Amino acid sequence: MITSDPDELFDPGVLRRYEAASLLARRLARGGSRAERRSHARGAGVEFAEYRPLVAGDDWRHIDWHAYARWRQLVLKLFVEEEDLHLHLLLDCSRSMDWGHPAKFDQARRLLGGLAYIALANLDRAGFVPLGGGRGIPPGRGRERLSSFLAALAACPLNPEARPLEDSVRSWLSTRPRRGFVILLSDLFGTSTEDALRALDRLRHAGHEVAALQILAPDETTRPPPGEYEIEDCESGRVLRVVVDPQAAEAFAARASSFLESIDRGVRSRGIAFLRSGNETPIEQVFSSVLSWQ
Amino acid sequence: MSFLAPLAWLGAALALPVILFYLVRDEPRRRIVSNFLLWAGHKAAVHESARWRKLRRIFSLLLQLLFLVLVLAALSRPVLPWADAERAGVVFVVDTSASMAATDESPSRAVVARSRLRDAIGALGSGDEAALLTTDPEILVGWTRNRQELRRAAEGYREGVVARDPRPALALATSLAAGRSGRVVFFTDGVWDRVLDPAEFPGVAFSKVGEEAPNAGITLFAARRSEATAVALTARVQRSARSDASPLKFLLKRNGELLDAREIALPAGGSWRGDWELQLENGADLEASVSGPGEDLLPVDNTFAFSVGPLRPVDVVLVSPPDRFIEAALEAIPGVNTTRIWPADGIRFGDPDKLWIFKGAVPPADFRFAGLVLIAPNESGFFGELRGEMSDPWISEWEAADPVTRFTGLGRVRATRALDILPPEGTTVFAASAGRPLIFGNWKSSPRWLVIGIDMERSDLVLRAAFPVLLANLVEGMRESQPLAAVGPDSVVTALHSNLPEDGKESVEAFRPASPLDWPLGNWFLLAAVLWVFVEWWTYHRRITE
Repeated sequence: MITSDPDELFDPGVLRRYEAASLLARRLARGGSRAERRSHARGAGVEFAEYRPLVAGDDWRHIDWHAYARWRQLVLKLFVEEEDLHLHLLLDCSRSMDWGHPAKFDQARRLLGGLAYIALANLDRAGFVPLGGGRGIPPGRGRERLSSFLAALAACPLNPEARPLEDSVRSWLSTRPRRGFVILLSDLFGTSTEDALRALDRLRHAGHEVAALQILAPDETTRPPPGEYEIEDCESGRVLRVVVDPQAAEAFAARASSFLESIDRGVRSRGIAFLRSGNETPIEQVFSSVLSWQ
Repeated sequence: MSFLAPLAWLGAALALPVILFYLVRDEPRRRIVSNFLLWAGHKAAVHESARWRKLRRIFSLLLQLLFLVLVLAALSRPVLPWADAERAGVVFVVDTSASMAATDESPSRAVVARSRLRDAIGALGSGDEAALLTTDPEILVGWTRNRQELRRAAEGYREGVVARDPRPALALATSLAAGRSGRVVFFTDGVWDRVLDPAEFPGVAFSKVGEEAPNAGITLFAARRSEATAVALTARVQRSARSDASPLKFLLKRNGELLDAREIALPAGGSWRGDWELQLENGADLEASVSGPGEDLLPVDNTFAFSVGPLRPVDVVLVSPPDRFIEAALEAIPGVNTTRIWPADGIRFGDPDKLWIFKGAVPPADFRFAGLVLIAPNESGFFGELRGEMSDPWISEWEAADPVTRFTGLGRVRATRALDILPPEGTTVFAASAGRPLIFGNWKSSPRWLVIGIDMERSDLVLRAAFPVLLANLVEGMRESQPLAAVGPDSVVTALHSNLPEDGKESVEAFRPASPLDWPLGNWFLLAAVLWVFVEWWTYHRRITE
């Protein structure tokens, strides 16, 4: 059961501990004003930074033709650019997030609140995007936004409809959000194994720096106890009658392992920062891992 | 197919709870999961087809019911029809005589015979029936196919310590076997096949144990009471043919005290006999033993003992005026307590445990007695009709061999007067004068009575030995011939010879050899049931059933 109480959901002591931390993104989105820090991303600045191979989605106008003439390889010439960070915090609001003790949804909101706190404390622009419903908060700067941020997180409902993750991401991208750093908090259980990866692809192709934080409950991927069951999907309500014998349990564990491996392989091949966390993992431990992304 | 234990099929009632539990089986538990992604690839054990689901449930039920049927079939001990036709019947007879204790076979003939019996039981086919008898004769086990029962009986019987004549047991076994067209196998030490008449016991197979062995033992030790008080004692010692000729020492003991000791020089195959006459009014424990330095493989026949019981007292009531002759004759008989009553007028009912002697008088009607002797009765009664007197009678015929009048020598008795009494039909006449009864009556069965028609005052009967001997015979008859105490081991015990072939071994083909297919059908069913459990387990784990 998820909670809507901000005091219960967010622990001020934990957030304060990360006040001084710096959230560094690999790639800066284009912004209108200078920020207080240097971007690690390379852009249209004046100081040369490095060359990078051309990948799908890059602006072909930035190809260094001189380098091409020399190396016969399409590369981009990157410059150091200083801008403020647009941090888009995407929260998966599907019903599958309402699982575990504490609920994965609660754990995700706590993490998301912490990330927003850190971003706002570092003069970055942070916005909250509930995928599949609810009222989001557009990116903005200033610590005074934190209270409304947390209130929106606490009031965020679950989406009663089963919807592919890719569709939810596409809906948000249709609003043409400013390029920035997107952190997706989800269990990545879509309608198929490829659903989550396609959603991440859409974000990446839209020019965002993408990171994903997968939150799972332990009993979701461990082998079920033997017996005869009527399996009901909490999202769609579909029912499947199964008999779980040792072989079936073994097959389930194999499918779970395969699913997790495909996620790992997909994010690794796409250069997406990724972290898998449990719903019972302490928040501080998750933050430590997230900050090591830089 | 028939069943030896058809009541086991009552267990079919267990099918009801099996079906009941099947009907009330729990519905599958509902389990809500966060996603279908990982379950979607689950091989649906339960297809969406309800018909297939029903079929699978029925299949599972059928497997369980079939398992129950197999177990019940095993418990009911089924027998195939052709097994009935092929089965053989064997009657085992075991010699339990004392000679089976001989130790020429190690550890003894009895142990070897028991071992052979055990082997024979183990070699029975599944359809074979067997019975087990001893030479006592005793039926240890009637017809059965239960080998366990046969084995228990084979372990349980005891060897005897005296001789046993196996004829009754073999006759019983032969009659048993005849009913089943079976055979008789006799486990013995090998003398009876020479003694028995083959025509009397056809088809008896002998499984002989032991060889001819050295032995010396008591083959007869018997006692017999004489007419009065003495006990005639006889002992016989025999030596087998293979024994040496060393002297034997024979000891006779009475109540543990040495009575006689003799050294017997007995050749191999010879026998010796000794006789004694002992006064044993009060009874005694008698023991005879023989020992010697030579080899003796049957110690059990070296000693024999028995007890001679005391004489049973006889109470005699003499209804007569004082008669010194009769009283003296009665007092001379051991174990007789005599009482005299006179006159006879006061006697009314008698005593059913006593011997009554009336002289010159007759008892009243409804008089009760164990024995009644009427000497010259003065009137008629149940014993006969008094017709008159006889002058100068002479005893022309008398029963010299009858226990009542033997050893009396009545032919020498002379009388000048006797009563002429006509006895009732069927009365035994012990002495008569030219066809007219002088001494008659019934002394064979109780109540005994005897009439002496001779006038004792006008004859020399009381002056002769005939009179006390006659009284003694009558009193001994009253003792109802106390059994003579002993029947010693007879010669069979000592006959340790055998008809074994030269190689000393013999096998008896009493039954057809068992084959692996002779395993009881019930065991096959039980095996099938066990395999069936694995089949059900396999089908469940292959999700063929649920």
